[in-house]
Amino acid sequence: MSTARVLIVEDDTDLREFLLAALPHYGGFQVTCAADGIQGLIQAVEAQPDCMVIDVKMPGLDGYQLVRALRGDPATATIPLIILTALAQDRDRFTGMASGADRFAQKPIRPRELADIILAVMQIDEQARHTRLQLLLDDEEPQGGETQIGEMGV
Amino acid sequence: MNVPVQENAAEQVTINDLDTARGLSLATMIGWILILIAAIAFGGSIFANAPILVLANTPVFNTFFFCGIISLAMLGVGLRLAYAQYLTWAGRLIVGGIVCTFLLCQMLWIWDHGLDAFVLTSLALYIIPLGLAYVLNGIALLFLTAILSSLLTGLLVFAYPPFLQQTVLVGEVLSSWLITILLIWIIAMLIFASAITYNRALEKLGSLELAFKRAQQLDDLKDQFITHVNHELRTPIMTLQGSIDYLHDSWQSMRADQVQKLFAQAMRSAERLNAHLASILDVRNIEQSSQSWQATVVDVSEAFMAARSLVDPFSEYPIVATLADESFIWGDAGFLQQIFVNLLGNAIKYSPDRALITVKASRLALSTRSRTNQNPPAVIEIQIHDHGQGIPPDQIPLLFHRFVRLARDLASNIPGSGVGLYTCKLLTERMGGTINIESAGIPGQGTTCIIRLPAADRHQPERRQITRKLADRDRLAPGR
Repeated sequence: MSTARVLIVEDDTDLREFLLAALPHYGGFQVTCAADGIQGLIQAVEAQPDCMVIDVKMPGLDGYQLVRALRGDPATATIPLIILTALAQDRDRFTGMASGADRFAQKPIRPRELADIILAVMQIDEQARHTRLQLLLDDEEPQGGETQIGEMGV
Repeated sequence: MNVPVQENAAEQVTINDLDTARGLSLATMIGWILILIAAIAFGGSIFANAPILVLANTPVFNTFFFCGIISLAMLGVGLRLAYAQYLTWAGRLIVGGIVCTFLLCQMLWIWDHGLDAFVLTSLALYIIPLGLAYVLNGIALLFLTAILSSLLTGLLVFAYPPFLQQTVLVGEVLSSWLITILLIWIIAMLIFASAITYNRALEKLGSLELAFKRAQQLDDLKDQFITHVNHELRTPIMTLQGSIDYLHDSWQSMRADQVQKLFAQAMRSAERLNAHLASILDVRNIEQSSQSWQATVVDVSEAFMAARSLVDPFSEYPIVATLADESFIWGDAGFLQQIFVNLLGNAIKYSPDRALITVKASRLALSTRSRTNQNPPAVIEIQIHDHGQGIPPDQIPLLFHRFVRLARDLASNIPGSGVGLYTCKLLTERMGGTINIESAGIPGQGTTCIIRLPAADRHQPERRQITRKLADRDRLAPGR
């Protein structure tokens, strides 16, 4: 089994570098980073990572917009997405899930727990990803911005 | 929280507006009703008596015609003015018109029948204009109408001797007249009392609404504060905790440079947390500690240089300072330095990297009304201008509140706690000065912060308690 590739999209430099160093240790992944939403979108399309962890509050393209953009493109629609955010009220969870993410993680989260969530999301979603891709191919035009069918972890 | 002065004036404007709107709609309705009634009555009478009156051309006819025309004209013009939103004159003319109509009818009756019980009873008609006067225009017209009605009733009763027929006794005439006067004034007083209580109720309503709005605003600010603190603190905590976790789990198998890097990350995060907490909690400290302080002569250049060395120690940013010689203020050196730190920090944070930041300090003289004052008080005006994103002009007043940051900046990755400008304002005003921000809100044109503080002479070594505030900008005249 080849090593899973995880893309982290986070604008805070210290946190980004820390995750780059620590996550491979806890989850055995290959980790790459993007410093803002636009870069994240570009890298997602080019590299087709196996999972993405996306921070919400970023300048320019924010986390939710990035998730919607990824879901709207068939090339990236099936990548498991984890939203990482400091906001934790109910309406924020709802926004997170409604945007199309698979999982919602609240800061601060310990590196081991984040690695576990990434692993879980990648495994459980195997079936759901196939289903999602099938539905997308069946549709004439995939609609970005609508809630996608799939496993919704809490 | 600061309470803007204009909110009380705004409250009064709302009450006046409501009152005026109500009066205008009543004036148009009442105007139409009265005009129609008067036109029918007047026209009908003319028509019924036409052959006799036209041929006769008597004074009666002339008076009737003349007063009738005046009546209708007053009502007509009043109605027209009501449509044109001139409530005061609309009210006066409509009330005048109806009084004229009553007068006309009563005069005609007296002409034909003399002063009799019917006329005396009909004097009570003048109570109607009282009610109209209040609802259409207010207290002044109410009392004017009461006085006018009293005079007119007297006129009708006592000024028609040529037509007076002895069908009533003088005693009866007098008592009827007096009863009418009494009635008119009692009604006027009742309406007046109701008007006062109505206005008070409106004021209470207005201030309740205002208090509610302020409470909502406060709630929103608290929400914003919590969201902001949430975000700014949680990210460094994650890095700090994560680094320690990782070190704890794997330090034995790490290389020395890896360990070093993690320690450095942890330390930086801890420092960020500390700085952020400090800026929030220090606001409280500053509020309390700045209450008692001693004024000394402070060199503006020294305070600026000290601030610059904190904010831009390696001179990476293009900050150009033009400080006039002998720029000294009465104040506290620490306060002025903090103000410079905050404003320079903002200028740097919210500008692109190479954008110019200019700092100027100059001496201005206040114009005073006193001719005997040989040495008018002077201020030092400090201007800090950047070429950054600017601030939308309508949001400038909000920024002086604690913990407020523009939505645009909250969404960006520029750090900030929202207390910088609040602190600047607090300290400036403690020293008896003023602070203003000017910005067109256009990126590239930037923002100018203008601070004015009481100027001092270098050779004034004694300490002086600052008692007056130089808050009156209108009195300021540049002494250049």
